[in-house]
Amino acid sequence: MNPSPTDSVSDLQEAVPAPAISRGRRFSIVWLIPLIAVLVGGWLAIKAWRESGPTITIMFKSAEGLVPGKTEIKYKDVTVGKVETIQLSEDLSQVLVTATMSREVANYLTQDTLFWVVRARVAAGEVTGISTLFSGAYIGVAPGTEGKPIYRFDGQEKPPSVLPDTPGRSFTSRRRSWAHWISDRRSITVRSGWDA
Amino acid sequence: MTLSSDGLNKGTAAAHGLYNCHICGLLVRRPKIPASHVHCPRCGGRLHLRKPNSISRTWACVIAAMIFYIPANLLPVTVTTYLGRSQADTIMSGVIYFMKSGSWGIAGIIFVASIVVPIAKLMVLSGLMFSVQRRSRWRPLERAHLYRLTETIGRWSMLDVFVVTVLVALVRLGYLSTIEAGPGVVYFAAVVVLTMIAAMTFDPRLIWDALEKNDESITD
Repeated sequence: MNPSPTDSVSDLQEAVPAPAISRGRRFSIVWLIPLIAVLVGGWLAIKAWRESGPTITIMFKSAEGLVPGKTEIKYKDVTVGKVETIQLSEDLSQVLVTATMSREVANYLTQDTLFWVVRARVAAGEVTGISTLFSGAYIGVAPGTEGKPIYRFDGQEKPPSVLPDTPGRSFTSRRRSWAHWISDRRSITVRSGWDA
Repeated sequence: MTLSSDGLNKGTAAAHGLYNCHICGLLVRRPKIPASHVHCPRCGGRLHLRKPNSISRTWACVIAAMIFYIPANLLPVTVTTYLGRSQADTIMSGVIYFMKSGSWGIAGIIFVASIVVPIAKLMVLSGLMFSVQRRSRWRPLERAHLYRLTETIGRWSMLDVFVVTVLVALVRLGYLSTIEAGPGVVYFAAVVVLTMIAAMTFDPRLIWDALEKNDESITD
């Protein structure tokens, strides 16, 4: 028997079987970090993809006050789209405004959808769009109701005097004698409840 | 005793069965029998020959940082409202804005701190990891320098986050003008923090380990 402790250790090491060495747990907890990154990134991508709607083109006579990447398209003062680019048509007669719309209004972009530029206007008897003096012009939209979705629209020069969702019936007066107090082809709304 | 014939490695502590405490620097004898919980006799810190699990920890942080770098650049970092007109700016659009307005210096600083440095860090760290995993013997000194540079410049990327923080606090003029932080800042800060952690968890001695002839004992 050797009294040296180191030798007794080496004797022991040869006498007893070697332990089974496993590499420990294979999955280190640090891999949760990229996993979370993937989840967050994927969630952002899905969110962006789900919220992106169709791209449409609107033709206007002039792009006055419209800024690509900034001008918004609003319905009831809620932003439903954004102008991406502004180009001239091939014969230079019109301005082509491309805009991405949000997904929620995609089904309402039909034949009878109206677009117009809201800017400060002083017309007979009314002043509209004062807020756009500071915020810049925006594009107003009146959603369509029927038909298939389309992606090219003719923009109106003036806002429609009666929005399609205004309750009531619209009539157009052709009588000459009214002309002095009704300005050019202006429609008159008869509120529902009054007609019967 | 397994001494390498390579002159460079003759004196390494690992070759002599020694290692030092990563916290207080005390040189300690390595136990002959492998044990899982070895502590420094002076400060009580965990003892290990190399930073534990260095490669997978660094990879995890680098990959997470790469993923977060995408929303950091695509999402706006500032939302500026000026007279009711609001504008969202990403990092790159901010750089372009400063360039167009003639502030070349500011544009250059933001470009270097927010775009060049993070990309360089991610590339350098990935390159180092690849070379270490392949036990490359290619230009170890340059790689070590590159690592030190990466570790030093890392914190400067945080500059952009501080710029946004200061702007948000300073520009509060009510309706006239306000600046708000966009969601991109969070992801950008995550990139900076993750790359800094990645640089910390990477063990630069792994670069030199590949040069040792008998390096079985080093993989502790």
